[in-house]
Amino acid sequence: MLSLDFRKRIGDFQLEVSLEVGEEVLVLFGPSGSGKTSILNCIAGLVTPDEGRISLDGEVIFETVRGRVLRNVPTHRRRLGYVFQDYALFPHMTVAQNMAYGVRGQPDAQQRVETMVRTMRLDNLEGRYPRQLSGGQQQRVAIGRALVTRPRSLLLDEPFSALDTMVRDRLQRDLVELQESWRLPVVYVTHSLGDAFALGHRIAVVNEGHIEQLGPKEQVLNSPSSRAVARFTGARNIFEARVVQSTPGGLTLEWRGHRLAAPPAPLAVGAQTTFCIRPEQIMLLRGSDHPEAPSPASRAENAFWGQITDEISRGATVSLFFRLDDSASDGYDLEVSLPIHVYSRFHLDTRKRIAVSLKKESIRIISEYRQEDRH
Amino acid sequence: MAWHPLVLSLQVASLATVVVLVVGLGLALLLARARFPGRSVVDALVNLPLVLPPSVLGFYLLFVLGRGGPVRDLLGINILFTWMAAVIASATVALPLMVRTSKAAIESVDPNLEKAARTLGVPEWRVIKEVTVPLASRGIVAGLVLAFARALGEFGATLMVAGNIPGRTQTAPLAIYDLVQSNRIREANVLVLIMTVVSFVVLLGVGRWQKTWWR
Amino acid sequence: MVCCCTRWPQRVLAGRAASSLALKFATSLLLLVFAAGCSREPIPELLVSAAADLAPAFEDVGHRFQEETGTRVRFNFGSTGQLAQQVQAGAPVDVFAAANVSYIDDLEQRGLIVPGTKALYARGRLTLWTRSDSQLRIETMLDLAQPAIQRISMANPEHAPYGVAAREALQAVGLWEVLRSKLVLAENVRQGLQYAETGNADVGIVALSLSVQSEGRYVLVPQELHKPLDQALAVIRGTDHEAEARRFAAFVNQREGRAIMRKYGFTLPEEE
Repeated sequence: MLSLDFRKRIGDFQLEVSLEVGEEVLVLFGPSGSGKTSILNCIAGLVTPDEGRISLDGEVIFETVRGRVLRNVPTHRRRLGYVFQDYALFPHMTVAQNMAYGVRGQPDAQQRVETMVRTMRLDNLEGRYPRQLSGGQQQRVAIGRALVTRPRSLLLDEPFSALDTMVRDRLQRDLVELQESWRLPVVYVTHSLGDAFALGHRIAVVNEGHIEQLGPKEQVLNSPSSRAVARFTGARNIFEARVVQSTPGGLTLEWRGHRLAAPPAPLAVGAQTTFCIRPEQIMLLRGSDHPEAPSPASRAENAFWGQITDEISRGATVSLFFRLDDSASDGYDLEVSLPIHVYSRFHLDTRKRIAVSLKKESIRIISEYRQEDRH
Repeated sequence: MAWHPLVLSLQVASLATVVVLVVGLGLALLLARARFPGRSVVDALVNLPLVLPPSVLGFYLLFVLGRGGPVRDLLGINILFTWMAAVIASATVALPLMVRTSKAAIESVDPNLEKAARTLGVPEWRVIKEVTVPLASRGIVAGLVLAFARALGEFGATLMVAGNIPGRTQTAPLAIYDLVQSNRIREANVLVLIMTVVSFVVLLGVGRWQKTWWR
Repeated sequence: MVCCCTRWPQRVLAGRAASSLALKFATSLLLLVFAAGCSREPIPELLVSAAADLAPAFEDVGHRFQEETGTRVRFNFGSTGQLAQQVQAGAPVDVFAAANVSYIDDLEQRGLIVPGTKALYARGRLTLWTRSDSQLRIETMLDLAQPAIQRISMANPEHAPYGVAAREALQAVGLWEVLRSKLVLAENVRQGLQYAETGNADVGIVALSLSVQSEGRYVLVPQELHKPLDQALAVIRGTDHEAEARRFAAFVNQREGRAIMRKYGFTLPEEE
């Protein structure tokens, strides 16, 4: 169990972390420069926080009292494993020497290294030097090297960012397996949402040094608690709206001259709020490409007519940029994402009028980040 | 023709290089990695022998090593006009070359590698010994070669504190100067040629050895 | 420290062996170099610091002295100023022969010489020196003003006694300012001769002692034109070999010593 509670002034912002990591993979997710790596460095002892308390498995490894550092265990005694983004393998040592470096002099060192070589699928590569290995192999050595020392926790800094998709997927699976068999607290830093989702149990969204949201990954994705989180997690349709009606059954929002039905929220009439909806949660209405064809069922929820202004193919999906009728904006209003097979059923071009529907349940009311709302 | 100046020069330069290795590597590590008040002052002091004329250096060394100076008064030994003074003079002028080159090499070692070593539970002295220095070894050896070459050719400061005593402290550069002064050009040329060949062989040898050193 | 690298791959072991072999080789080479230089000195020795221009003369004297007394003399030739500094700093010198008595006087004032051992060994004379194949005809100081003369070398008056004398002589005949731009100042009087010998200067104002041993033509500069260049020596206080040092100092001024000194152009006033 890794327990973090510290603050540090870094450049323009203040780093503020307060959370606990159990036997799980906690992903620190956020854009570049948000302080994620600094957090990792504070945990590892490579950087000293200004104040706070860090403890690992009950042992306090860092503590200040009234601004004075009471305890600051040096990095080499913290018994943590750290995997660097650029692997940081010792170029003047072979694979075997690299992996043995942390346990040199220990009686069972050889045994441990041999086992780890097998575990990390590095057989027959022990005598090679890092420059003779592929990226994926190097990263496996780096992970193996960290684990040979039997650390109490594993920290990884965007370890797979430089690898191609297939290798990355494989390594992600490896990492999950390792975490499960070793039962370590793992802190994984990444700016890739895909990584975060593949690996994490919980995600902590980091923005300018503080944790905007901390929770299970589905929650972070589907219920972003702030604009920043929404932005980072790809909820690209983020808007301001005014509450015109508030009942236990739901809200009615006024948005760009239209009425929207939204899930219930504790907001008063007249309040300004922010909401978002993910591009993949906006539906194109079937049959709407034929004008004046109301669907037999009750009118679709939150339906709007408009035009496609642009489209971008993204391989397995297509992003459509939708402009509402009588919209005041210059460009588009909504970004819609469709799987390619759905898209091909429609006959779309930029002049055709079409209708979209924003399902009520898919609309997320974002409560802005407030000082008291720390997890 | 006496071999003594040549042998003496090689002895003095070798010993001076050893001194420079010990002191210089320590200084280079300190200046490259430690943060302490007065760091830039130490840096400037180390570089001072590079810009001071050797005779000025000789003057300062004379003061340090001679009457009234710390070496004579505290340690009670008079090393003026001995080969030890020659070693100190050579080491003093060669030190900045070694420190500058080594410091650059140490600074160019990827700090992540040192960080990685620490996270693996390795104490600082081992990080320096097993990661930093080996990875900076090319630059350090280059610095030593420069130092040796400089020490071999040292003249002005050596003249001051070791004297120009043939058979005792007259190194090759001093001997060459003497020979040229007394118009024995032919003998001077021979000595110059030998010195050149020796320096060349040393540089060649070190270059080769560097290639086989790790990788 | 227990080494657990028993099963490292062969290549690693070979690399280690190679580098340790290289280290052994380097060490033995170093030891060899050191052994070569070691020698024992059973015979008593004197260390004499002497002005550079005394080199050939004193070496000769030194040999004769060793023949007569069995005491070996080692010389430390250099520029007088530097030599004086070394004595002041406590260098283990037994006898100091300066190019100018003022340095000895200075040391005497500092109490660094053995009282009563200060002795004049020569009164320096200046000469105007040209190469034997030179077209120039130089008889007197005024001949230096010849337009054909482009460069005149002399010792630097800032720190060389012969340079000071040369300047005084030039000033005495009113040529100092006029010829100033043509002067090539050498670090010492030996270098001054070298410039002239190698053709880098047309004429050299050099010490008689140097001219006498050279292969050029020279004329004496009248003594009245400059302050006397009294050259003196003394035994340095604190020497371990005071008796031998005194003997050497005396030897220089005794019959045999004087003969050698004269031969090299170092004359005493009474010998003119």
